[in-house]
Amino acid sequence: MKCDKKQSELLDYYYDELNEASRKQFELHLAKCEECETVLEELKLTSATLRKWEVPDPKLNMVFVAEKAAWTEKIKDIIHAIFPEKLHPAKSVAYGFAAVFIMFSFTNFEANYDADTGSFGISTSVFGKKTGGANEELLLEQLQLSQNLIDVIVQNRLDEQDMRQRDDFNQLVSAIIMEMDNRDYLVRQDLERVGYSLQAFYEINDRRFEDVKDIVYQDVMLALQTVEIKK
Amino acid sequence: MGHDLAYLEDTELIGNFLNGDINSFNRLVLRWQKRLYNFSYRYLTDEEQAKEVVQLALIKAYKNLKKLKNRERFSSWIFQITVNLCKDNLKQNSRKRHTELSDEVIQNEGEHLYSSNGITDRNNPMDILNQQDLGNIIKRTLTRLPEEQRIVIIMKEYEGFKFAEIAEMLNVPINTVKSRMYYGLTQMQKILKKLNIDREVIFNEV
Repeated sequence: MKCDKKQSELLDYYYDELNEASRKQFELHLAKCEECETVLEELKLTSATLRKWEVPDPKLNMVFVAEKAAWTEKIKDIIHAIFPEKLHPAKSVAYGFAAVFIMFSFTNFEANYDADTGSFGISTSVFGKKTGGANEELLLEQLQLSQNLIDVIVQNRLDEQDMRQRDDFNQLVSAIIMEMDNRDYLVRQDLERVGYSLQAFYEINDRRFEDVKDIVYQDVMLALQTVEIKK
Repeated sequence: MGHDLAYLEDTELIGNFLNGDINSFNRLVLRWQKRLYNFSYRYLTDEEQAKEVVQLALIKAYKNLKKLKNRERFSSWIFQITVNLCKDNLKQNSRKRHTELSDEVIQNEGEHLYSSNGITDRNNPMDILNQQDLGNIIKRTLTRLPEEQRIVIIMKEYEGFKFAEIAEMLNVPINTVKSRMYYGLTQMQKILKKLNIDREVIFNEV
């Protein structure tokens, strides 16, 4: 095209970036100028062609858990996240489950299920020998523990249908654990899987886990107590 | 999850996240991952590489969001991060790509495109081209363009950014952006003509 100014204006015109006055002015020019009209037509066609390219859905589902950081800060954050002043019940359940994962992803908790009494306890070993290093191993262990924990919660609280969902969830978590061997913590596939299973779990069970939040709350409090005693 | 979060603006989610709510960040991720992926995929034309870039971009965002001064500009900020990561990725894989794209004349490339899509009668592409073939042809045609033109076309045509925004993200003058756009589209058009992809094919494909 001969005229650079027109070339730029033509693009602005086609992509609707001219103001009202310039647009009208350009339309007047367009009516007279055959070259511009041809170029515009070709531009439209090329643009329409380009838009026929659709990207296949990658089925992404990334979810972030808190990174390793000073654990006291994190626990405060979790409590704040689970219990801001007034929280919608469904929301707090979502927070609760997220918190279970967040908790397990940065400190060394141990969940113990007592089969006789049907109760479970949770303790922390932040200052224990496991702190630092060997992240992978730790995370595997943590995921295993969170799996057990949710297992217990569901077992204690829910009916048969929920048991089946619990099993699905467990299968997903087991798959993550199996595949995480010899890999770093922030591997996309892991994030995706954790994301899928977490989300699927609380989307399926929307608004039905109200009492779970109390359990999570108690766990956090208990964990805090344990930590304070160790201090 | 978090039904209420779905109605929040990006700026509000950013605020919540910076106040310690990880779920707000996850909501941002849900909102943006597909768009960032589509962009990266069109630029890198590789599913795995594109996913990798999106993950890196989101981790970067997670770590640096507190440094973002104007939250209204989150969209161009996250895109700028993604663009830079895509460029790094291309550099890392440049040797591989160079051999893949060793220069042929457009004509030859045209024949190749047809045969690789199982099309033998190039005088009657209408009967054979379906949506997916067309997508593949566009994808391959775009990779024939110089990188600097390609990225502008992708940001404009598929992401709908304004020229001024693209100029800012790529850190080049706006007129440079426009001329890259113009020459890129003209090139594209020439290749498509060689392939007999015309109005009929585009608008009447089966």
